[in-house]
Amino acid sequence: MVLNVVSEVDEVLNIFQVKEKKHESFITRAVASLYYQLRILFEYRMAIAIDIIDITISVLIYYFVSFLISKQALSSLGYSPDYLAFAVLGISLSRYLWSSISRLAHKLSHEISEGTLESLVVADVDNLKSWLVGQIMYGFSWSSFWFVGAIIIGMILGAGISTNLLAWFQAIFVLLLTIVVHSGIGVIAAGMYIKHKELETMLFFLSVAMEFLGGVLYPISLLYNIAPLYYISLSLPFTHGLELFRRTLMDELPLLHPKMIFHMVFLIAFLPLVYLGFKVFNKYLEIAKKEGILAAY
Amino acid sequence: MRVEEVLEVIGSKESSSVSPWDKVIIAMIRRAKIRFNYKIWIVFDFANTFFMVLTYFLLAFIVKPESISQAGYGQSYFTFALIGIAVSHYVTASLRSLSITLRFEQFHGTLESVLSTPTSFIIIFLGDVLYYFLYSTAFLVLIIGIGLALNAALVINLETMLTLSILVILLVLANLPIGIISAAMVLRFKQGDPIGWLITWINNLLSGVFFPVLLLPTQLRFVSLLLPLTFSLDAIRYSLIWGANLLHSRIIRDILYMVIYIVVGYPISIKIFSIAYDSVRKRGELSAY
Amino acid sequence: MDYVIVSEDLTKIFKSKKKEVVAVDHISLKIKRGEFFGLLGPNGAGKTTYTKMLVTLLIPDEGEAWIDGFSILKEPVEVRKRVGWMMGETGGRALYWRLSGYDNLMFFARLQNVPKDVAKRRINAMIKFLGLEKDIHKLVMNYSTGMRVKLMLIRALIHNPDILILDEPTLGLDVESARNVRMLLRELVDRAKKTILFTSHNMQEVEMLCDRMAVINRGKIIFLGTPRELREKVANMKVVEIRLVEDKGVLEDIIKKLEQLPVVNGILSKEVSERNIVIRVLVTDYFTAIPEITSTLREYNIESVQRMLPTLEEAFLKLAGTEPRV
Ligand SMILES: Nc1ncnc2c1ncn2[C@@H]1O[C@H](COP(=O)(O)OP(=O)(O)OP(=O)(O)O)[C@@H](O)[C@H]1O
Ligand SMILES: [Mg+2]
Repeated sequence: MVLNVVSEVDEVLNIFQVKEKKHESFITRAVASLYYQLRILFEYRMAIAIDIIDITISVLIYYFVSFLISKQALSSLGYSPDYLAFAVLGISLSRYLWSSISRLAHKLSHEISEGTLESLVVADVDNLKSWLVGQIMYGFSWSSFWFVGAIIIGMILGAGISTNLLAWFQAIFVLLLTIVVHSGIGVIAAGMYIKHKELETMLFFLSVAMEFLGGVLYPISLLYNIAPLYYISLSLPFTHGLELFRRTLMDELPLLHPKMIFHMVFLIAFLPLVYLGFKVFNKYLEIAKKEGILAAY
Repeated sequence: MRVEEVLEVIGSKESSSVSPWDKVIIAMIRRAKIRFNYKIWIVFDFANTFFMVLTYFLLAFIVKPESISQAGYGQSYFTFALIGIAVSHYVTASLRSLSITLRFEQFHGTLESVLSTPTSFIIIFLGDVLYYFLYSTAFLVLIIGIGLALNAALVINLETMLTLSILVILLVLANLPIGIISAAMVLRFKQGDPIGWLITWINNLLSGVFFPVLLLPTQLRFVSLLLPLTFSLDAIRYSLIWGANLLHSRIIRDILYMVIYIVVGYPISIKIFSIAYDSVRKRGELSAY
Repeated sequence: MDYVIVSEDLTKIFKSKKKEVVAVDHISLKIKRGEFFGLLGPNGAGKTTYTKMLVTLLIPDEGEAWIDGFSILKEPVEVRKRVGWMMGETGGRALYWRLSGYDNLMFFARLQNVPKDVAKRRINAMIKFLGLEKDIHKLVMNYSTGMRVKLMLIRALIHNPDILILDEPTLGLDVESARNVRMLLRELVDRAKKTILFTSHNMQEVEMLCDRMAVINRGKIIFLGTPRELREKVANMKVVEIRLVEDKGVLEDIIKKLEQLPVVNGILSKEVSERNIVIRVLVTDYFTAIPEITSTLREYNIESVQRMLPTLEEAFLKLAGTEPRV
């Protein structure tokens, strides 16, 4: 009896034949990646609701903690005595730290274990770059949501945050600079992560540590009490970004003010990291492709 | 190996069985092994807590001591916050983790495997609770250790340690009903863990983890009286800051509140859980992706 | 007669917002002690749903079943003690991926009340037989699908149950492993006097192993008997496949012409792709049918007219038309 096997195979192959797509630009694909992520996000309206409450509760906690804080102590350390503003600006900026540093590696590890990364890379390398940028943009939007939410709620509760338009332009400039610098670190980390899987744990630790050392919730001069930590803190770009950001929105100091210029120079010195980041990432990607470890578990 | 030999080994008649207590331990060990295979979350949890302790250590330098002493908790904000962090870890670990774990098992189909055995759900649940209890206790010890190294004003002696152990057991028992209800919801609705989130928020804001409840406006302070954690925290602070034992009137009051939660909480939460469980068994969603 | 698996009008309806699926539709079955019983059915027939109800993981909407005399509704714990259950379909999802194979087996053995030393001996014997020794201490997340299926089979056997309910136990195994597993199962019935109910959509497997079998389709039993009886029914199905290089516009005409032929007993299926038409028909006999069809359709562009084996689905369709002999 003859079984017509060949035609069945053809049929199966037909299903898998994908039509030629017209070439899309790098930017289009990055935006598509962002859009896709956002759509997933909005499908989880619950997640948004949870985040809004999460923001509110966090800010409320520091609202009450601010009653405990001695105003004299805060101003003797050179800040305006408004702890609520101090804390709100700290936590709103710290969200970007997580999203720019460890989120990428974390996402990458997810895609690798799901086996989706390999198909991304196989298609073509540009795809992966769009994916990377899309992911960074997505992390950025998510943190911005937190950022805006925390500041609005903080202001409703009476935090002394500047409403001067110029100060805000400067703040956003500082914010962007901080994000760009840290994304550079994040891309390097993600690249190394492709080969050294054990790094993910380290990265988690690192972003938590940086958040602490940057002085999100307390003035960093208090770190003098644990002197070595103080110097580590000063060597981190985040510390300086946060300092600039706070001084801008609490004291409305201009960037060229003597108190600001040092932090500014320090932050800019980290900018080449971004270029380095993509270099390192590409190098590790090459290694990974040679060793075939993109879909390793 | 030949089939005959295999059959012989499988068919060996054995009548002894495994005691429920042994099963609780076995379930606990399996949870521990699984959790330790996700090193990243343990590192994260550890780092988070460690830096949180350091943060409040530093913050304490700029806190007015009066605001703590007015509430009756001594002079040190650091000590106050330290106990808050350690105690609330129990609640998050045993409550949130329980529902997350359950959802995870439902998602991966292991829940079905476990329930196809004659061992009751409660025993497995107890094993998980026991794991999270021990895990949080390790955290408590660690946090207290860090605290002492940073000169926290804690009274550590045999009496306060015994008091602490009993209070911590009561703390978990009093908060568990909420955990059971949130696990029931997760099992049934499969999405997120709204009750777990809600309770974590309310606890963090209203039960006096980071600041004395006295600071809250009156209406909110009333809500805090509905939370078992408020009383657990109060009792544990009293004991560790003033060296009070179980016979201290304030601690007796707190224990009474916790006992009320236990007496009222269990019948309600177990009922809700069994309704959810039956409903899920009807809908065929014991494993649901 | 000593029946160990009995179900009466067992029914399960899944309701969702949009539709209702009758996954199991009043199934009544009686399986004898020591019987090797196969449940054959296409995807979505209701096999898994039926077996899950028997092992008390799913509460039926109607009907009742008894395992070794214990009611699945009233005495679920007694039922679970007596049954070994596995579900192969999900590729071993029902195991802890972050535990080793050994830890998994040990854990489930203890939940099944097997003492530690006994469990150890049984695990060792079975991993040797199924060739898992080498990997047993690796994490299950690093196993292949086949290895996981074997692990689940061991898990089902670990407490030496008298009754085994196995949902597609050989799915995902390579040829040799599948042969080993089949041999083990057959011997478990022959020598250890176990009762096995197993599901499959592989007719050959059922034929090879089972004493008795049922065919299930859309939640209903449409055949009950021995594999030989089923084979006889299906063997006299004569199927012819006609392939034409034609546009779909002419399909209606062709069907009409085919239906008028006395040798054609019915149209089984028709498929249209861009420039191809494929029609499968049931015929009374090949010798007259093939030339007659060819000459009837001579004005069309015929690619081939061939005799074919009936697919399982076609066999089911035919069976569904006959009265189930329950
Ligand atoms: N939990 C559920 N909720 C809703 N519908 C379900 C559920 N489980 C199964 N079904 C539906 O019930 C029907 C029978 O499914 P079942 O899994 O029992 O089939 P099966 O014979 O085991 O198929 P397969 O060969 O694919 O394993 C299907 O239509 C399926 O979509
Ligand atoms: Mg199935």
